[in-house]
Amino acid sequence: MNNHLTWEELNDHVDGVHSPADESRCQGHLERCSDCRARLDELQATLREVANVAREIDPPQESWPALRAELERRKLVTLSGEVGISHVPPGAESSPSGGLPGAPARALPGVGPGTLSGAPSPAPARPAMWSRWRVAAAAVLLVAASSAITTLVLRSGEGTGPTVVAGTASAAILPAAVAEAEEGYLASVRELSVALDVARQELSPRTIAIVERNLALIDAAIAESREALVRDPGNRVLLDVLAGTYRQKLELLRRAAQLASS
Amino acid sequence: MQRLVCGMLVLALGVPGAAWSQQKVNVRRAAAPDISVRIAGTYATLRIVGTTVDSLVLTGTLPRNARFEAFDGGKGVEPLRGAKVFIEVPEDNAAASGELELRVPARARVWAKAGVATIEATGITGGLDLNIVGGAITVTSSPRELNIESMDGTVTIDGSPSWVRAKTAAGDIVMQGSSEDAAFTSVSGTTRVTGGRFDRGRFESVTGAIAFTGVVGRGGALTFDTHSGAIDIRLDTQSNASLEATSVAGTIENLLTRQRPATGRDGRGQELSTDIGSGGTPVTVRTFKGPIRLGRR
Repeated sequence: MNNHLTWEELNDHVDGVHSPADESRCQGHLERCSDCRARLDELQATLREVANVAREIDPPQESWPALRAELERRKLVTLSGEVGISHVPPGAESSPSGGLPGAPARALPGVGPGTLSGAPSPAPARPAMWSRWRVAAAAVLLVAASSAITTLVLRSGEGTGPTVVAGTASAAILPAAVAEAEEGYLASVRELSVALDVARQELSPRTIAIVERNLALIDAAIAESREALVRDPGNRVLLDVLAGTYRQKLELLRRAAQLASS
Repeated sequence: MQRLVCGMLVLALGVPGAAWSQQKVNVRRAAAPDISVRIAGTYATLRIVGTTVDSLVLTGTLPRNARFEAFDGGKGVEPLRGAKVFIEVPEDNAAASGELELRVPARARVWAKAGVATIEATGITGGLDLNIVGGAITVTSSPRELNIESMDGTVTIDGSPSWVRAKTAAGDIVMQGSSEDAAFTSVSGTTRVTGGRFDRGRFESVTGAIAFTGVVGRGGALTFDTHSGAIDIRLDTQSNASLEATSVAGTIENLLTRQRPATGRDGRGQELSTDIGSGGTPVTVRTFKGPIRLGRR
């Protein structure tokens, strides 16, 4: 039989989006054509199988140590987090941990909130290639950190034990996986802040203002989500939103650092 | 890479009037249909035009004191397979006067970077990678790949690129068209997408609003995420999608189906799970406190 139904027509038939006339023609053809009936059966079988596939598969808990070790091994360079980024702006004391207001005053020496202004840091030596290497390394870290955050956030479930976060006005309790993800995130912020600080003199005041304004918005959003997460640690949507905001901050820092270095 | 012969850069010496302070750019070379061109530096406007002619033509004017360097990857008379152009203007006040037009084969891949600039691209079916701090980027064509980054410059896309990524800090993103694979990310800018079918799409912002009007492609997935930005989704009645929407601390208005949003966890916010048409393609909408509005196109 000629003029078989197209793949698109078969799909439209299954989805029930044909016009009455098209559907009638399609039905008529299917009654007469064994080839098209076979393809239709195949399509319907595939759809049934797809419908039964789990939408999300959590990676096994025990995979994280190996993943982390692999990420460490793949780092192009290891950067000190204490190079020239001591410019925590006045009034930022409430957010001492790399732009996480309300986040722990954990041991993150010299880490600013990714801001570009504030008290000037000692002028660092800025060989152009060095800053490019830092940006390149930071880009690698961004990918690694984003993956790690996503992995951790995805696997953080109801059963994950809480971690008491010290150093805030009122001790906050976060799921351990989220706290661990934050560590990875803060490490990436630190690396990107170093790259940005090294090259910040290359940025125009206008660019600095834009970056600062948007970093402030992101930090406020992170603080708000984080506070809500402390109250409702098992909220998956909240975790997703928070992880997305983390990624936005890393991405903005990366872009600003890249602008400066190119 | 060879330096393009000096004769290609024509200085406008002796031209009367204001033009005396400018230099003309006039570069013309035979080019491979899929040539890669990189153009970076300080200029005010760049117009990229895809043509049916296999040649690279770069024309325009630059401040007289601008340093203009062009390199090519060709050998002798062979058509160019790649070219690099760099423009440096020592004084900021001269930057605004540089105007360039780049005509390349439609299938070319063009990478352009500038500070504050207006970049317009039209007729390109190959690839575009455009990066600015401020100003505006307007793409009126359907390249195979389109990547745009801007800090606060506005991004406007009128076309249907197969693969598109647009990222801004504060700049608005406006797209009219469709795509198989799209991702738009902005911190505080508004994202407004109007058009046809989107197979795989990711739309993210922190405070910026997101508005999507279109058709959900079969077999794909759409995700919308904001922290506080409003999300307005209007789907075509032809769409078959399974929609999951959550506003942790905000509201959901559903004009798309009869399903009513439920109160969220701990009595805060709202949640909605509903099928559009016969269901299928997952559409995930998540926000911390932004309002969600769902409607029909």
